[in-house]
Amino acid sequence: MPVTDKYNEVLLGVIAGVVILLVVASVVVFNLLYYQKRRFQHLKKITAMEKAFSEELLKSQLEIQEHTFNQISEEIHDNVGQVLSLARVQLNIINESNKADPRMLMDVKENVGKALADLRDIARSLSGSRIKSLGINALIAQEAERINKLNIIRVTVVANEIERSMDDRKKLILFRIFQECLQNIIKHANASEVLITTNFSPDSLQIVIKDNGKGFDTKKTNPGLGLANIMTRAALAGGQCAIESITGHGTIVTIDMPYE
Amino acid sequence: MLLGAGLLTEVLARFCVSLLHLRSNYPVYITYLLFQFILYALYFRSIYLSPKSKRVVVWLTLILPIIWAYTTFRVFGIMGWNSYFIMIGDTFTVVMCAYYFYEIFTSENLIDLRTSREFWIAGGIFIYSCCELPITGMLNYLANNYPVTMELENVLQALNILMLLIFIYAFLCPLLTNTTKSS
Repeated sequence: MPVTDKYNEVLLGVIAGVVILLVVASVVVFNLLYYQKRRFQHLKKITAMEKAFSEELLKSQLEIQEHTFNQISEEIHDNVGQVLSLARVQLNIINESNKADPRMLMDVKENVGKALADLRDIARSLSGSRIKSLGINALIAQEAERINKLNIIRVTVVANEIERSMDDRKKLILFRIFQECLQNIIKHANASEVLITTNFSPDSLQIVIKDNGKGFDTKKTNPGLGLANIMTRAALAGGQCAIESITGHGTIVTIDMPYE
Repeated sequence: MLLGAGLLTEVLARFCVSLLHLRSNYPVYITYLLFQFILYALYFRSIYLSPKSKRVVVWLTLILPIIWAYTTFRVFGIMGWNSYFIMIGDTFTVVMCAYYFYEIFTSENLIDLRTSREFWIAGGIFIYSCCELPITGMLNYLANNYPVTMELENVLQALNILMLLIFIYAFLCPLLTNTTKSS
């Protein structure tokens, strides 16, 4: 091999080595840039999700508030108002008659007592910290009791595990989802019975709402705004919601919500 | 500071042989390299996030002159090309850059690297040190066996230009971003 070729070989070898190192070093630097860009995008996504979660939380709070006000309005009109009106009529009768009937007086006393008890329930439901202070089982039981009072459907609650605490914000959204499910059953399912089961697993709480209503074909029927809303809310809170239904055989809604 | 020292080194290297009647200008470059590696270390010390890594760099800054003195006066002599010191210095610099990148990689605070001066300066030093290492490290061997020193010096010049261009970008990138945002 001529001497010049040998020199060129060494020179080219060194230059090629330098070029390879240059490429490798540049790839490292540009990879870092790319990775950082991805991290920024990820952060942006998380911020957007947190914002959506906060908005959803606020919306849920407002909806629960509205729901409570409607409920109070109905309660005052249908129960407290009726009972107090009856008590007033009874008092008028007593007033007009010369002799007070002790049995009627007892009835008046019972009616006023019932009205007072109802008012206490209403005052309790108005408390802003109710959802925070009560456990999910107690909230579900209260809601079931309220619906049972309406005598439209029979709601049975089976809380089969020791209750575990849950993040307040998630509890609020979960309760709102639960309320929406029950509202959907009352409005659309034509059901006579609803069975609610709560199951506290190590990582998440599972609520199963089963009704004996008319059901629907999940493949054919386009899920309405209500069902889509339930699913979006569950996903935003980090949970999942599954709906199983067969026409004529009722519907099962399963909500799975992690504690943290 | 580094740019000023670099300029001074080049001027001294150009005239020292004729003015001081030296055999070569290696002593100027070798002295400059000590200064350069210490400056790199101090720079990384200022941009590191963890106090522990800052302390390590301080120790390194203290050890470098000892290595330099030993290899210059005991191994190669003041007139020789101190390739050991360059290899050690470049390796340390690359490791310091890699650690800085690791800190960025694992930091919870996100920095926009496109407009980060520190990142681009570290990137320039990283690229230059990686590529310079095989040339300056083998310079003694190559100069003694093959007459390719001039061509390799051109390659080094090109790498230097690339590093300085990255430094220019590093100083301009925040201004460029501000201009883009305001327009």
